[in-house]
Amino acid sequence: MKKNKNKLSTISRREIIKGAGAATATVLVTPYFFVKAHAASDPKHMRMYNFDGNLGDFYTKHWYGPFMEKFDVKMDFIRLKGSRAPLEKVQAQINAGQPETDVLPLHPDQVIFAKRNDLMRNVTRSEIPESKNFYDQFFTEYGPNLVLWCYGLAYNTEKVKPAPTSWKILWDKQYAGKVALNEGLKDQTLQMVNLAFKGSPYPVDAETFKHLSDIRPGLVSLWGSGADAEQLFRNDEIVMTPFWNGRVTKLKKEGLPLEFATPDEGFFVRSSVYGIPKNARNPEMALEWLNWVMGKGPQKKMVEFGYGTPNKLVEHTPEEAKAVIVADPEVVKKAVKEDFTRILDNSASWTDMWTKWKST
Amino acid sequence: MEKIDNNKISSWWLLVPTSFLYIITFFIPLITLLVMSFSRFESSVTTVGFYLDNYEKILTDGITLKIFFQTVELSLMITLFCLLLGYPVAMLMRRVGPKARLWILLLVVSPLLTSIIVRNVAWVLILGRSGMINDLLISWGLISKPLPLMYNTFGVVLAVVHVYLSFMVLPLFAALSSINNSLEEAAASLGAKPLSIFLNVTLPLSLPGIMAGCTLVFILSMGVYLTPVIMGGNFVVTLPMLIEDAVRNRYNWPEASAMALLLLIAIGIMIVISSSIQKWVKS
Repeated sequence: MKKNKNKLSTISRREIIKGAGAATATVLVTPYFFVKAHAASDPKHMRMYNFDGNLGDFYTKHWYGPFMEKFDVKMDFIRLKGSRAPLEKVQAQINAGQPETDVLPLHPDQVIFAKRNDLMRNVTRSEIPESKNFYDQFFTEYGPNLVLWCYGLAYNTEKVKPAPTSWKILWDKQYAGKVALNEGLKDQTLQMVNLAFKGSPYPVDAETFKHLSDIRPGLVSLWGSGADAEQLFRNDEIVMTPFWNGRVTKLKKEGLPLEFATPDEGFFVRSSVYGIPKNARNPEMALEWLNWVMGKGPQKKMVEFGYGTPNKLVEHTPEEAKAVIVADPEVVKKAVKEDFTRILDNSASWTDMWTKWKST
Repeated sequence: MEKIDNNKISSWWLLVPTSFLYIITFFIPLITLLVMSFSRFESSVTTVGFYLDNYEKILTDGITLKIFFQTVELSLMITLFCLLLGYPVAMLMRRVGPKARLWILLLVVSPLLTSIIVRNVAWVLILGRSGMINDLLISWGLISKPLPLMYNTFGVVLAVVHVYLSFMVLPLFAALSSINNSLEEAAASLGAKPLSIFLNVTLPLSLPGIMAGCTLVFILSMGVYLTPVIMGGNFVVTLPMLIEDAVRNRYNWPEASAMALLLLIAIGIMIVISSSIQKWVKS
């Protein structure tokens, strides 16, 4: 029995050594082949980010689908939660040699971060012929600004009367327990509080948080994403919150009695820069897509969806002009300029103050 | 003697593939995390080096440590509720027949089979201002305005306990099943009352299951993220939420790494305490 056991162990040992060697080699070599295969660039293949919810459906239907059909291109999509691209992840991928996307939408503070860390490829107007129809301020060194969205006050028209004209209505005692603020982009909330009480978005200081403490008992939630806020309106949890105009347009189409107000103290207009990350696999097709999407047709579709466009050729119906806000020069006068360098550089201290405030 | 050594060596070879996998997927990221936690983040740029800035910030900013202890407190609360609710369920599973046991088991693990988003949205529909519970209480005239059942600690604890209960019940059931019924029967035949049997026989013998369940639930609760975000309305802050914010909104990997290590150390301490108690129980 002992003999058999030894025999078995001798045979097994050889086999085990061989097997272990093969398995180890596989474990070590597989990532190499995977990376090589991943790196192989097909000129007719793009990798793109897409958003969740309605905006994602819009992109698929109007910005990605028709482009794939027209240019006979295959696109793979990575679905994002919310509207903010995971720049922290893309940064690591760029440094490792290959980002997962060929086009990267960047929020304004992300543009500054990308510049400081040299993450994006420069794009010139000559590379994108359609840029001639864009207003100058909406074309950056990394690409065009697309999707102009406004941050104002969304309110229930049946429960908030008369229509609000000031951010201060959020502090009105009669609406306590029926309002919410956003944490997703907390810098906008902090600037909004300052606009309401100081007339200017900066500085964010103890006084800002004193006003936030005043509203704190009346807050239902600090929502994280637009989808969360939509749900708060649908479930009748809130009657009012600072919000983005496109989301209000969407809820109105669902039949909710909502309206979007631009308070007299001012409101914010933002847009995303659509650029090409360094080491992207298919920068040529990315440029092609950017040029196509900046065209009148795709931009008109975005206006119909509810967000503004920097394309001068796009015409608006009165309803569209009202929904996108930025088409009305009188309303745009109330837009307040934001200092995104300050926002990025102060994000740590603002976050600390914010966390302290909400956990007390 | 030599042959035995050879056998030992050959069996060690079996570990080689797994070890490589662990080195690549666990130890290297862990070392990266450690290195990153000592790096410096200034003007949006990360500089690798040996800086104590992040740890200094954690210890002195007056908020991170507070949130850390809040996370520990929340995790202990969740663990306690899971134990209080899970123990009777495990006892029941031990007593009933195989068919009923299967049904109870299915009921207990069912939250794990549902998507986290669907589960939390369902809670919103039940606990919200116009949710099922508030609507019922108002229609019965028991309350005049909706109760705050969510967007607070109560909502978070309820939703997390709902999911993690299974991680308590399963080890408890395993421990209770291994208790020889004749011990309890012997105690009863000697005149012990049910409460006395439970306190002096069943409970001490099920301690390994209690410790295993508590350790599992505590560790999972320390890392819970999405449920507090949805059910706490962002008012209930946990350390994973700070980590997420540091990475996603501020790109501050060094600070996030230091906080992640703090979380890891806390979990490590919990595991040491748990195994010490188990050893003490056995001895």
